[in-house]
Amino acid sequence: MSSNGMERRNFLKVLGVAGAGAAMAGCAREPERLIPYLVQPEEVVPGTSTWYRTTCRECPAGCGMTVRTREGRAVKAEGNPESPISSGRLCARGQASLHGLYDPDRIPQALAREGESWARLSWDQAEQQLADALGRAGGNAVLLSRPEPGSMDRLVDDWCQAMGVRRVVFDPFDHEPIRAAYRALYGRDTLPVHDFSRAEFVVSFGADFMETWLSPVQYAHDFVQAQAYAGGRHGRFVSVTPHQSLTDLNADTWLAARPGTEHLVALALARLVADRTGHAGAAAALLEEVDPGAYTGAAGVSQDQAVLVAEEFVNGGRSLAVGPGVASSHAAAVTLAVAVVALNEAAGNVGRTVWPGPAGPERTTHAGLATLIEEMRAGQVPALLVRGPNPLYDLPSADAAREALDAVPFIASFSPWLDETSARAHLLLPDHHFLEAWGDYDPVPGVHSLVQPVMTPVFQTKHTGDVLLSAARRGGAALPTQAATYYDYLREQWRDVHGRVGSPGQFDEWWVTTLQKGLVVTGDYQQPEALAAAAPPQDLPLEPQALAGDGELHLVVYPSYRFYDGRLANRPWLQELPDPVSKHTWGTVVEINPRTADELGLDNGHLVEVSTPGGTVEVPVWRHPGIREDTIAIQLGQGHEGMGRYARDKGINAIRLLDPIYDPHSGGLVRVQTMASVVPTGRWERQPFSSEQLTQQGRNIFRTTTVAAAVEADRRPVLPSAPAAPRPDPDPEEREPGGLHMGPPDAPAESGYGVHVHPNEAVVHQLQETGGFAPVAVPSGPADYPPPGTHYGEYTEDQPRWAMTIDMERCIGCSACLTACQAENNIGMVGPELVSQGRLIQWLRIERYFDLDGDGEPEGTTFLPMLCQHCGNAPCEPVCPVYASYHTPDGLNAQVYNRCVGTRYCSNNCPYKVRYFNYFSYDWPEPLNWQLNPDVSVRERGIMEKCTFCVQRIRDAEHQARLQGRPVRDGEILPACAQTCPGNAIVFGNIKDPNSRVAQVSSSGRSFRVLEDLNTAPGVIYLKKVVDDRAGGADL
Amino acid sequence: MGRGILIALGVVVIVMLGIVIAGGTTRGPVEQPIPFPHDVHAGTHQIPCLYCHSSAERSISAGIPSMEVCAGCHLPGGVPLVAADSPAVRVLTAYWNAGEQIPWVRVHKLPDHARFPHMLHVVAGLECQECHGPVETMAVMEQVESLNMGWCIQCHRESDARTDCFVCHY
Repeated sequence: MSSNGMERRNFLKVLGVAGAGAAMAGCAREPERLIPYLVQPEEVVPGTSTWYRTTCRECPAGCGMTVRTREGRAVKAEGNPESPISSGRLCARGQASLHGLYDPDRIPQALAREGESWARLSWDQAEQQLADALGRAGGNAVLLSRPEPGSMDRLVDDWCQAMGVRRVVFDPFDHEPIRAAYRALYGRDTLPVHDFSRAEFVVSFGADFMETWLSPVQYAHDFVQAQAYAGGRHGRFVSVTPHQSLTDLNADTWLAARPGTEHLVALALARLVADRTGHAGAAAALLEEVDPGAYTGAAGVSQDQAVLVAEEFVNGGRSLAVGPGVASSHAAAVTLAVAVVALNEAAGNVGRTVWPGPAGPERTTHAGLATLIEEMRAGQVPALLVRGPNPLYDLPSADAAREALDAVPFIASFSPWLDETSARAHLLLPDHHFLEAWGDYDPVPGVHSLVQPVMTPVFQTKHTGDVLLSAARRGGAALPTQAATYYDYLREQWRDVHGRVGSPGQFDEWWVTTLQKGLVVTGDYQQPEALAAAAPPQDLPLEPQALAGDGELHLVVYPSYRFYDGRLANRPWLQELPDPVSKHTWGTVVEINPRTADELGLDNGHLVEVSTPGGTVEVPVWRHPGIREDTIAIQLGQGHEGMGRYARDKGINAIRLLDPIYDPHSGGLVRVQTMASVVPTGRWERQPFSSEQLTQQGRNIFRTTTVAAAVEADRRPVLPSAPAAPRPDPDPEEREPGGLHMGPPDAPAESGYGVHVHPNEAVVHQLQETGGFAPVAVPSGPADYPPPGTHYGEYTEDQPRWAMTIDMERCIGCSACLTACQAENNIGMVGPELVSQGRLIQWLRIERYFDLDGDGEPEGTTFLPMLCQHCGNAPCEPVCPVYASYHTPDGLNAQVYNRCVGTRYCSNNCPYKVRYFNYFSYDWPEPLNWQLNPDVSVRERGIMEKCTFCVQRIRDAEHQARLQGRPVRDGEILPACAQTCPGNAIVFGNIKDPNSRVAQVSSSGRSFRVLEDLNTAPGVIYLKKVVDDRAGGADL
Repeated sequence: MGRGILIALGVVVIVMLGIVIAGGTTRGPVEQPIPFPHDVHAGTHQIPCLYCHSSAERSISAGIPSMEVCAGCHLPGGVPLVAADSPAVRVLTAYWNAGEQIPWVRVHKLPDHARFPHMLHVVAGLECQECHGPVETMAVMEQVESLNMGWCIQCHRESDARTDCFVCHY
């Protein structure tokens, strides 16, 4: 009886639990609400993308941009193909502009300082406070802003005039030495215009023209166009610099001039070139004094090499010399700028590959800003308005700037971020992000690019143009415009453009079509001007610049590809983007030559104290083979005290190591000014490197070739009807220990094909015939393909085989593809701790391999974009216990998230190491999560993920084709990486279609597949990098 | 012994019943902030589904009609017209005049990791009712089909559509 009772009780308990479970499950389901539009905008169809053209404003280059929006939110930034500046591409900074838009640390609304905290203001109150403060300042107020060529500059100038405000225009990377040289030589305050697309021979003197210098996306695109191997021709690029940045890693020859002597090399080259062309121009007297032997000797560069470079500069096709950049702005930087002009003049390049731009508005130099700081300190500035520059961060003398700001009774900042300077303001008037704002920008002569809002503002911000107009109204100032809003003002200004363009028709119609196009290009774009230069000034310093200080190493500071001058440091995508050279994330490293590091007993991650007369910082070491032994380098852009959660306290601000020394010739900051001492602290910390590998350790992962070998390989007849045969298993005799077959893949004996059939052709055919399935050797022969068991689903043989080619000759390592991939695919940001534990998630990574000679000297660098190879015979697939990793009939190696249970077997079995595991669920703090691509699942903890070839874009193209009743067109599907690549290195398509671009490119004689001897049959086909025969190149 | 097994079996049955009742593959009628009688609109008046859910033939999403679409018939130009004296339309008028949206309760939902392009199914000639049930007879909207993967796959197999995982899950 008792036992029965127990059972009944148990039974009732279980029943109760089951009932409670049912009730809880019922309650837990909060009904999901569907909120309709009140009035649906005409251009919005829910579930489809709307694209807007605008202009990137993350750096002064002004690339045309196309922004994809979904349901009113910007989700992806891409280049505008109509723009000659971006050619449809963007760099990593442009890709990450969405992180500026959705930055959770943006100032949400107008705020006024109240003691240590901030009080919320309505915009009406805020504008009144601004107008009142300007009234009190009585015509002595100063507006400090960046140059913004276009309507904004005109409005600000007019406004300053009407309000009696002094305008100071400042940009930390304004290339004052070049401006000074052009003022002296051409009588214009301007910068040069370049045409890299015609320059087959380029010499750079510290100009990082693929990273931050003037117009990096355009220059990188044009550089690759002119230099990459094509039709038997291959350009040459020589970089003269003590420290190799990303741009210099792409050079065929590195002349490691001592810091402070680049101008000597430039002068020696100019003299050597002038001797050969007999055209010294106005610089004849200057070049007369140049002794090439002595000058190159003083710079530590071999004279023979200089002679070779000069020979080629004259005879090696069209040439171009560029410089100086931020990294070569030493005390003789103006001499260097003059010498670069002389070199271009002597070779007849002026008017062909380079010419002076038109005179621009007046700018303030670093020295000019220092004067303003002094005025502020002396209490002569009653009100300061700041829009853009961040003097507390940008200048070496932070204490002086801080004191100066403290002495100003009223500071208003228009910055959208609480950076170091705006944190000291009294009134915050946060501007819209450029993706929320109307505007325009004239990046170069002849290009008028529009900025239009792609979505409603995320926060309660207001366009500075509107604030200025309102302040003028409140102050009773008469502006030469009747416009009520900045949008009206902009349209007013563009009526002039309409008149100048001379397009027929009404303005309103033209305005709409121009907005759709994004920009107007007028006839004066890229119109070379062959202007004769005047004689260089007499007082230019010609001697080598000895650096001050008693340290034993020269200190070079250089701009950051990721953060520019530091303004973009609060973008988590950029923080987590490995630096293209050091592969370090979320911080700063000091770059030291391995030999110097050995002497000091330093390995990567050792913390050292770097001391200069300007200051001391503690920073981890990275051993950089591409730097002189007597030099160290530190990147700018980190070490913020403000800006936001991602920027604060990451790395160090290298400008703090410098003294405020200004070049009397240009007024620019002398950045290469001091020696530094490096003292090991004895401590070591694991650093957030994405990779510490310097070389490929002889593993033959990437291959290079020479011009002659590439020509020969391309000449071999390609037989379109080559038999589809499986690649024979390499003879076991030829295998090396460990099972890896390391022999040259092109050797006819190994490939099994006659010399008249290109071996890769057969590989391509194999893919085409079999749909990429398991090309393993089967005893019955090729007729039995595909082997049984490799053919899933109910598909027909006319499925495409998606494949990709990556031309390593066109990859400059800029990593724009990487950020594009992060943005497109909702990839989580793991933060510095987890990066140092190797838990970084980046579906696409750029392997940077130095080619070191026996002495450890770099002979060249190769960038290998490594992503899921979508193997036809994928090692990851058979080991998955739950079929989460499997092969699709259209040739994709799929990862099905809802099946994945996180065993990680697939990653262990992947020879390419391109599968990434979510060790945690990573979060996107509001409103960063607004950016998430609604077409891609967000993964959580415990899920394996990897490159999908942007399957959402493939499916979307397939859907559109189906709706229109046509097949998918070649080139219609662009994965995010291929879309943004400035070098156009990546081609994607259906390799089964012999007419597709990807099939044609993969038929190149340079094609190979990484680790193909593992018989993985990858769907990613690489093209060998062409290494100059003279630089030790060989066909490998 | 035998009774033990029987009770254990009973427990299993009841637990499963609990799961079925709660987690259910289909749900009953779902009350909405405004009673929207699909039977009157799509049944009596024969308004085509795509009149209101217009993006179903060109987008992955069928879309919820904007308030403007409701007002187009019931309140053209702000003047009550169709069924002006119905209590529900009076509520609608209040929403519209206040410039507020109706917070509809979602009835059909697929998991976030499943992608369902409406337009391909509409273009392929499927009737809306094949997935959404006899909407034209429903006074209150309810989910009729299970919308689970086996249900999708069954139809895909029968109609020779793609059944590859990566077609819907990415």
